Amino acid sequence: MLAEKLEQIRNFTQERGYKIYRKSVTPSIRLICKKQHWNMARRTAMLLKFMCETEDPIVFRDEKIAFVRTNINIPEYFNSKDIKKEFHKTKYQFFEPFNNACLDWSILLKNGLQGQLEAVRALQQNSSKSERNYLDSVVISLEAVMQLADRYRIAANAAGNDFVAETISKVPKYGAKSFAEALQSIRFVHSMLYLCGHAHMGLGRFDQYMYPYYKADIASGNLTKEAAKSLIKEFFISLNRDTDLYFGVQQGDNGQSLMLGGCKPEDGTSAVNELTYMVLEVSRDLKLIDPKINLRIDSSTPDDLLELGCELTKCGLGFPQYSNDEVVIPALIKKGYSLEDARDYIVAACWEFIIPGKACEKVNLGAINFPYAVDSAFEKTLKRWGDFSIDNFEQNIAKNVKLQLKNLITKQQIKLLPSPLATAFFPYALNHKKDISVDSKYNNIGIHGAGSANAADAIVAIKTIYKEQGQEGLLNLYSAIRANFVGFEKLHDYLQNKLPKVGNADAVADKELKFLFDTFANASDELSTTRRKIRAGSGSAMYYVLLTNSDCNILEPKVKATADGKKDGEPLSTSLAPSHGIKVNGVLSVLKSYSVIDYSRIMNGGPITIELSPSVFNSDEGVKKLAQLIKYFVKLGNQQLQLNLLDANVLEDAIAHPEKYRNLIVRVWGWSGYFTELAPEYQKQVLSRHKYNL
Amino acid sequence: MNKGIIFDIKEFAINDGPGIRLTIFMKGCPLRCLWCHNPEGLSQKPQINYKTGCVTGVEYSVEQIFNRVRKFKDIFQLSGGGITFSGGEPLMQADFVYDVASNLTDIHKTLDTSGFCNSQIFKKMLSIFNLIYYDIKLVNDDLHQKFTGVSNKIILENLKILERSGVPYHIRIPLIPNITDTKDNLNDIKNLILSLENRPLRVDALPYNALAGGKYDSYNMEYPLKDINDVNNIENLKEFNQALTQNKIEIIGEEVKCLQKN
Repeated sequence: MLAEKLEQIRNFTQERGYKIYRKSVTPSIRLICKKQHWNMARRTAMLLKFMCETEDPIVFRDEKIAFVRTNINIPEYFNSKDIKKEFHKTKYQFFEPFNNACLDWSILLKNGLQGQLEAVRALQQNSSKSERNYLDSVVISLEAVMQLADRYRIAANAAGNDFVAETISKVPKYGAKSFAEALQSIRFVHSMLYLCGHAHMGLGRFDQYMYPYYKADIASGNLTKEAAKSLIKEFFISLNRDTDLYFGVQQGDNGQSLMLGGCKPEDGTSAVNELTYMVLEVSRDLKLIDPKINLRIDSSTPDDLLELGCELTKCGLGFPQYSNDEVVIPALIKKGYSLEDARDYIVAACWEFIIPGKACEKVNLGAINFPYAVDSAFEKTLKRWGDFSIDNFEQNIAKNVKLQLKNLITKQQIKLLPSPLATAFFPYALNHKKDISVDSKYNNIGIHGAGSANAADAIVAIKTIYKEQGQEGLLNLYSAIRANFVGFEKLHDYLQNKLPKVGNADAVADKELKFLFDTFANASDELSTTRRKIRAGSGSAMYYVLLTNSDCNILEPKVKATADGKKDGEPLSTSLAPSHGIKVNGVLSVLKSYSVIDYSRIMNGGPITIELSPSVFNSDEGVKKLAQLIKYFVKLGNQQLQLNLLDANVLEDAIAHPEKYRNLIVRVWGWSGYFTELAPEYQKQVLSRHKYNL
Repeated sequence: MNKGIIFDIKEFAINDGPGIRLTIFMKGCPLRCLWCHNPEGLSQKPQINYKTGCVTGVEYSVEQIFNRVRKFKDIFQLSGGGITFSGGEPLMQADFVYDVASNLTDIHKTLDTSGFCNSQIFKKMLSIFNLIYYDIKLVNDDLHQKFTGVSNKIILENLKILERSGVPYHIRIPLIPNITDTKDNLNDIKNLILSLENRPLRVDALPYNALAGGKYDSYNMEYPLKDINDVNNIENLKEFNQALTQNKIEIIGEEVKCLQKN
């Protein structure tokens, strides 16, 4: 339940009421930067300074957490020539704004911007000229934010909001001294990252870095539990403002992920605390898409916490997403992450495991198109070797996976643009006097593995037909696939309905699933170097749509109809989920099927995705039983789980009458968004998933 | 070996017993309750679902079911769950059910039955099941015959066998507006329950679901109660629940809550 005042603030945010304060100031600042011969780090700092100066501070009378973005355009501050000059850009190099990382928020809360600024000044002593120059950019960034905060203080006074005036006079400049100050500090600085064009910036282990402030305020009597809850609510509501300005594939894909639970980095004991529960309750009460909640669990996670998570699932927001510590942490260690860092993991924008405040890695460089690998290996084996053989077929799949991977890593070297502001909160890079975009403790590359269910089902189909009908049968199958099954309706029915499928705990199909991921892991190991390892993953991201859409321009190969019965243009299934349109035994079978994957090697993340029917929650028993299902997921040694809840009928109605469903929220892939704001192809994918509710 | 005709197997069935369960819906039923919400469970013969084009009703061997269920022994143990035989009326295929269930020795087994079955067979079943969901619909035999197509004599006899057997059981009452939720019938059921020496673990009075007739179309069948007023008599239900609670008989609380909201 929400208090009336909070209800008003939430409605104001949901109705996008803050948009009336927007303006567009767009002079190019590129020429000034060029004249001054500023490098990209300095340009980014100047961009932030420019953006801060052009912001109009907006403080509402009754709010406790302030910040609304008003300047909606980020001006041009470099062009491709500038990039080429600075980076000696090669043919395959691409640049992206700084993204998919999470600051060490505890440093901000402890030292404030001023504390970091002094630390930077100290570092500048005994530094080379270029180091000093770089650190100047950090200083400019920190100062710019402090100046805007000061203007916010004045605006708060003018608005008669003493509470905000008081907090913002102290944070983010100084370390936070209270729970409210800590929240305001994070909201403010987190927004600054987006203000200078960064994308997908995480909120990290919120229940961990906030807990000391909560505990101290409760102990001193300055804060009640109810008041703390209400503050978190305001903080969350504020995270739902401005988000349409954030870069993403679709609206809602903005990377505001928040991690809860898990274990303590220093000793591995449970990190669950009162805030872990409180955040889940707040998210359940608010029913807003941001922040996206993730929950780290293991076999000792308390039942009541899991049940609370399930109550949140019941709201239909598509989160929390669960990660199994017992699987994720050992896999990170195996990949070379230190024990302490591995225990501190969070997820990036969607599900990729990253280390906050330590690393900035390219965790979503691209995707392996598994169905394509199978399809092209089938064609190749059939045509080149007069006699088809299973061995050749499998070898060709492995070869193709490796080839796709090699293409991705060589033809697409993505570099991040610098972030002097973020660097102030990445001690590893800061102490080296280098930007976090080039000096990350870990430098690995994450690759998604898309369409695994379709691909494994296709292998089953090809092998079965070969066994039963030999080469002749395969030639017929090949013609059917290339004809998109037109004129082969009977065969299509056989492929779709009569063969073993991934998701039904059928050893025949699950063996092929494991084979595909083992192949991917092998290729990843072979193409890894000591400095830059490849993290193979099981996610699909937007590739479930892109890989089947011949019109879109990406490096990954496209696939049309496939041997499992998928027709041309039909989307692939999401991350780890059975192929669309097949008869699935049920959720227990799905969990069992996916437990065959070797998650110690497939460790970039990508959840088992289960669409539940709302009827699961018709009785109170539903929540308890769903919690037991999550325990089963842990026991099976699965890695990541996403439970979605929605009625296909509701989605169909929302497509027909979008005006009635402005606030309808769905999980799209690693994030949730408003259904009616999605492009039609994504709406279609979500709908076809929910048609097969378990 | 026996074969069984099954119209659905549901993993993660929420309302069919303790813990996480796998429910097997046996096809075929000797009763013709007007309110039946599983019309595809009535006839034992396979039927076409005209909406999906698929055939409902597949023959399984004992071994097939046994293997399917065994896979999930771990989750049953973890959650205190197991399997449930439902239907249709599972005891119409008693041999098959017996063969499957008696082989699954270390898995919790629930039987969801109308109780309409030969008493010897029923006794045999009680020896292997851990929990019985037993339906009581109408106590007045004339009304029972009118609305379900069969007499309740054998059902009430089997209830006596059940209570004497010591096997834990729930009594479930489908609350059909103006048919089973009448003051008289609920009063009769209350008296019947109170007359039992070994009381049920719980009494579940199940409110009428407005979507009960939803599946008839798919099988080209007509829902006999399509014109029914879909709201239960809350006063009668409250009185009934109160009487049971006073006599220390556990009832499902949440179902009543959800009724009151309407």
